[in-house]
Amino acid sequence: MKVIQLYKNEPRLIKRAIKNNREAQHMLYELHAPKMLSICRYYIKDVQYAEEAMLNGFFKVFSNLKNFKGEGSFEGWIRRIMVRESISFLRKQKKVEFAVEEVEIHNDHTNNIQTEIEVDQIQQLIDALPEGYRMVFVMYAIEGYKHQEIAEMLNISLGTSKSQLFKARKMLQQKINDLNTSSYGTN
Amino acid sequence: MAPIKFEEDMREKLEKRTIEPSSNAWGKLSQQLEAENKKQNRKGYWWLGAAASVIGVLFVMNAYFNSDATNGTSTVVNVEDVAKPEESKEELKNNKVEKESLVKIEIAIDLEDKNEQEKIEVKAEEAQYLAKVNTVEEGRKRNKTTKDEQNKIEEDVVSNEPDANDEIQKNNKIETVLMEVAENTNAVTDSDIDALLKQAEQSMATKESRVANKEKLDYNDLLNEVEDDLEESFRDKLLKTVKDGYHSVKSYVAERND
Repeated sequence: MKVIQLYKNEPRLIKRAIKNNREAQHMLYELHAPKMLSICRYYIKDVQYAEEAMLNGFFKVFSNLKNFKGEGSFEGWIRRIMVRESISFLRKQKKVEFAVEEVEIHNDHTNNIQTEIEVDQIQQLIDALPEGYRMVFVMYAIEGYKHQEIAEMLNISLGTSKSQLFKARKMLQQKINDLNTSSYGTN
Repeated sequence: MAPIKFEEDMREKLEKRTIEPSSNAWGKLSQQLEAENKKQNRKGYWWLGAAASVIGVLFVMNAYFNSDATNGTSTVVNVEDVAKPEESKEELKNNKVEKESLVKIEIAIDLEDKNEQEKIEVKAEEAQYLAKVNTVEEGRKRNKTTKDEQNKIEEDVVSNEPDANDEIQKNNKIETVLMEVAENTNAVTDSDIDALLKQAEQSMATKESRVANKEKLDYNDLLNEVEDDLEESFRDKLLKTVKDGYHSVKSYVAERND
């Protein structure tokens, strides 16, 4: 009941937050911070760094809240800010390289991958990817961005975005096969 | 399909996940927001201060330019009006500025908080003085008429037949007497006028000094001045009676000759 009430009052909270009402801002933060931290964690391996990027994202949210015109969901608007902030954080930390080396596929059991992987294992698999692969894979496969949007946000070409995705998928398949092999033994 | 199916499974599980932030995360964010608000308020206060200073300067300038030195304005005007008689005597003879200036002096006296009854008395005396001035003017006019009449008489005398030399001599004597009287009257009239004007100038000067010095006028002084004027008006009355007598004598002589 409380969650529903909060959800219904979100427009009111947004109006008050625009007027720099700290309580309203705190309530909006409490509503969306856990989800946004998880999103930042997609891109950033370290949770503390992910939290820092999330706080920077919320600072921009409240600073530009008056620009939110109610078109689309408020969560979607915050999410886009968090993705951009996570990418910016990674680029500030170190230079992100979009590797072009070929990845050899040892096994060809990609079509029959059936495994129950926990969320933590999924995150570990994603963390094992290089930054370039990871960013493109997460933006395309998890966030649902199109290659054109990915190319504009990462300032790369359309072909680079597609090749990065292909390579990211291959690597993940390899990792999962290795995981299944280790868990179920060798065939 | 598998990768796509696998990716869908990853997406669903990751979307359900939430990670609780640390306990001090909101504190950090709140401090950042507070610092940002202070920056914005400083900018706002700066603009408000600038606007308030501009408004204040405009207000002061408006008050400065609209303030007038009203103290003693009427008296300054009165002094100027009083100074007018000094410019030319001929103007005082023929215009009523002197009357107005005297009236303004009364107003100046009023401004110095005088008794109304005393003002009325002064006004009455001043009116008598003005009446005297009018009589002087009338006297000048009459002098002109007397001159005209003299001319007529002379013509009449010349036109009449010289019945006897004695009569002619008498008429000549009368003419000379008339001329002398006329000249004397003129001389008297002009001298009287000059004297009156001098007295008026003196009175105006004294009153001007009093007004300039912002001293209270003594009603007794005013009355004394008026009394002097009354005496001179009495002299004018005498002159008038002499003139009337002369005219009566002249008419009697003319009738007698006929």
